[in-house]
Amino acid sequence: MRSATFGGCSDRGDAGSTDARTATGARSCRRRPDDDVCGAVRLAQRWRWRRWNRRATALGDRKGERSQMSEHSTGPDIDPVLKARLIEITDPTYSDPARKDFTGVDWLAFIGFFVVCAVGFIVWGY
Amino acid sequence: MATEVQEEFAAVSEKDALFGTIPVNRGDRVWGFFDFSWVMIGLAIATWAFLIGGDVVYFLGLRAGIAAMVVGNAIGVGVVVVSVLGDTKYGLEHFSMVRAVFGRHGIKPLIYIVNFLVCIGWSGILAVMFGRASVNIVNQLAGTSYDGDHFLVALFGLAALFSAWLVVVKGPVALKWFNRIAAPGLSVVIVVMLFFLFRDNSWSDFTAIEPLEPFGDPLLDFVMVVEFSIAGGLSWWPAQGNLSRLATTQRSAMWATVVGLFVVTLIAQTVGLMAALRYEDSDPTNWMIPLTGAGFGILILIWIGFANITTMSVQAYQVCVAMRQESVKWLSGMSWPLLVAIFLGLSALLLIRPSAIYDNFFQFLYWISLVYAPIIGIVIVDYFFLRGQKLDLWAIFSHRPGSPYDYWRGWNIAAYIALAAGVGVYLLLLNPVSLWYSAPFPYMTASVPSLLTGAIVYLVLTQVWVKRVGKGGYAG
Repeated sequence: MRSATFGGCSDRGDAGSTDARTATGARSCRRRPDDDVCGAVRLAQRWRWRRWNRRATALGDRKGERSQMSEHSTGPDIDPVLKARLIEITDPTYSDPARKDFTGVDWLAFIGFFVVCAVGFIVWGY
Repeated sequence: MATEVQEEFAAVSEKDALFGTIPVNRGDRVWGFFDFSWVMIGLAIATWAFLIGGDVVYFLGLRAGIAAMVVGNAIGVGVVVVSVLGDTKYGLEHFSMVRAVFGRHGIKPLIYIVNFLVCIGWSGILAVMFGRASVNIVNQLAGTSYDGDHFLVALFGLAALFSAWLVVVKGPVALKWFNRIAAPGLSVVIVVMLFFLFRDNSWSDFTAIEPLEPFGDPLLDFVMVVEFSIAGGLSWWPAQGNLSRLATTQRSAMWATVVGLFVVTLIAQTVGLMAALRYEDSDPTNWMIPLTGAGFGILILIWIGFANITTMSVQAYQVCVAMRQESVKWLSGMSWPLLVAIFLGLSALLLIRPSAIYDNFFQFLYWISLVYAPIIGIVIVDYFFLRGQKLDLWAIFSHRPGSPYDYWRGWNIAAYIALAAGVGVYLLLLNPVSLWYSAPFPYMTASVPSLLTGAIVYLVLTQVWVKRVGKGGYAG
């Protein structure tokens, strides 16, 4: 996912927080705390993390609800980028042609094709 | 400023969706029917298709061999297509979807042991085949007679793995363009091979050739071929899931898969069978040059090697995406090129002794079927019969204890019991190590009863146990 892509630093503010908007804590860094590069990266990540969280929360506020999805997981245990994506694709107004399930005709064509092929070739070849 | 943040956010989301486990949205889906067909065709026409077709020569002649391959592929590809429709519908990375069945921790053995080993095996086999094809070209050009375990096989295999790495680091867009080049060329290769096959032989010549080492029982020989054709189809289950999530509609994903993994695969396998009958040798790298002559043979071997890189790339892409489950932070945060390099690097270990994996190709296929058949049955029954094609996307990605797909501390025990039952039934019918089979095997194969057992046991356990204790987020 999103974090820990720079120089071995990890800056996920995911655990232990009850509010995604405040989830900014620096979690760990494999380098020494006084490492300038690591510190800079961590600061940059923290800044980006805050913005993503705000963005994700703003999106969630605007959309208002999670439609038919579970409310168990709307907490801080979800990465903000993932959270924003979930808000987007679970929104009742989200439209995607891929969501259209097969119709009876689709199933008939699909199963019929394989059955006809299998039976036909058994008769022909076996 | 707000726009900048939105753009940055959108770019990161897309990147994480295509290279990680974030669900893809409508804008991320890059493959319509045409492009997805080419991807599937690129996946279908590789040396493995010729090898599977070639190996039929031990059991069956041309007509019965084609019939058995059609039946096996119809079953294998058919259930795979059905089982991954949820990936397309919700844009889910394949094992993220399967998490709803096995639980957030329960899915890990499937990803980091089963799928990982299967994909390493496939990549290793394809790299060895690439290496052997290349060594045959060297033998032809230099007049040498290097064998299949020569160090040059490993060297060329490494080159193939490196080429696959170059493709995969660019992601699915690179795969798309790679396939747009490779797949049409491979279609031409099949036509050229058919031309040379029929130049000196008629259809009746081929049908008159007897198989090399049949058991003698027509039904048993037929079902043996059906069984490994099913296994060949099932082996693409994870790759198919991760690729089909990028298809624009479920319908296009299904028919593109039928075109590529069923129709074109069968054509390639039939060509392989015909050539194997003609030259009495199942190894396609050995009969390409005798079949078409040195000039065409070398060109075809080069192009088939190219196709093998396509297949390796698809395997590497799907396994690396699957490994980036967001619950495993050190892997999800690892750079994409490094992750791909590690996976392909491990595949390279199989090049130390190429014949070790290459000569045990059948056992490898049966092992895949042993594990995947019951899992696919479980996934199908869960998605279609228990959940009515509806998944809770938030629950899939939740790490909280007590969330709908948390089951028992992240493990769905019922799914593992069903899996064990399916594996047990398979082993009662066919031993993938010794190839021992029991009396019912010729009448029912091993994969189909295993798949059905997994599905039925899971259905029953869920109805009488999992639902009653309020696990799994099942309606009602």
